[in-house]
Amino acid sequence: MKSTNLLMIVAVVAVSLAAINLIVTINKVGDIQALTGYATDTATANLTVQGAASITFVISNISWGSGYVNESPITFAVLDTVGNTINGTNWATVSTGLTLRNDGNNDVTINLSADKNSTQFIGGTAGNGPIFQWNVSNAEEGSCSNGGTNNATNITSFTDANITSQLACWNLSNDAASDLLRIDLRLEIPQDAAPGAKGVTITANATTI
Amino acid sequence: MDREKLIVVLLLVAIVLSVASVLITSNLSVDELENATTPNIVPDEDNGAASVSLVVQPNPAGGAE
Repeated sequence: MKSTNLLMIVAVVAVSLAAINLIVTINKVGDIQALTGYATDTATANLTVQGAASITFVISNISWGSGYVNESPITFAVLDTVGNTINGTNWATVSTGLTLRNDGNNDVTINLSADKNSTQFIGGTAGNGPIFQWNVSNAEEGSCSNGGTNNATNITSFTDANITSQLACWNLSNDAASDLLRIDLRLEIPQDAAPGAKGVTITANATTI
Repeated sequence: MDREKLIVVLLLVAIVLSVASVLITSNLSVDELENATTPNIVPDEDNGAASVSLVVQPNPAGGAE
């Protein structure tokens, strides 16, 4: 009898604690369900996905090959990426601009810069001197909004490229159907530009809006 | 009798485990989850680079130097 009583007391204590444990657990699980939105249609999920800035030049190289400036009367050659080669010989005709795509999950602001200005890149003084320009346009309808007029970039005509950063597109969409920018280039090669290989790197910087 | 002792021991173990469980569950705090900082899973800035090149040849007629 004595041991049976002891057994009963211990059993009652164990059951009581188990019941308390169950009640506490149910209360806590209820709190966690409200936090995560599990099993209820009114809960909110407390999670923030930050914007990802990710851009890629899908066309990243422009090369006109080798050529030379023709003799007078014009003292310079014009090369661009919209199919013009004026007063130059042997250079390739280029009809494709650099193409930049927004691969991220957020709209971004695009700034362009070059590692050389026109003098460092091309050199020479004849004609208008060396000219290195870029123009930015939508490669897909509605890709860029310039903050004012929709469907327009912030560089809408050939503008001198430079080492300093230049706003090219205030809002480049991340929508797969409208996330492409085209960057066309225009060069003027003076007749007295030093022969040799010329190269410049253009950097696009994307910042999440 | 030994069997009764064994049952008592098992019940005592159950009580200890239950107490531990109560303590752990009571200390669970949703505040830590609510106040947790959002992990920085992606960068907010990126760069892309492109290259432009050409070669200037001397003009065969002597126009370019």
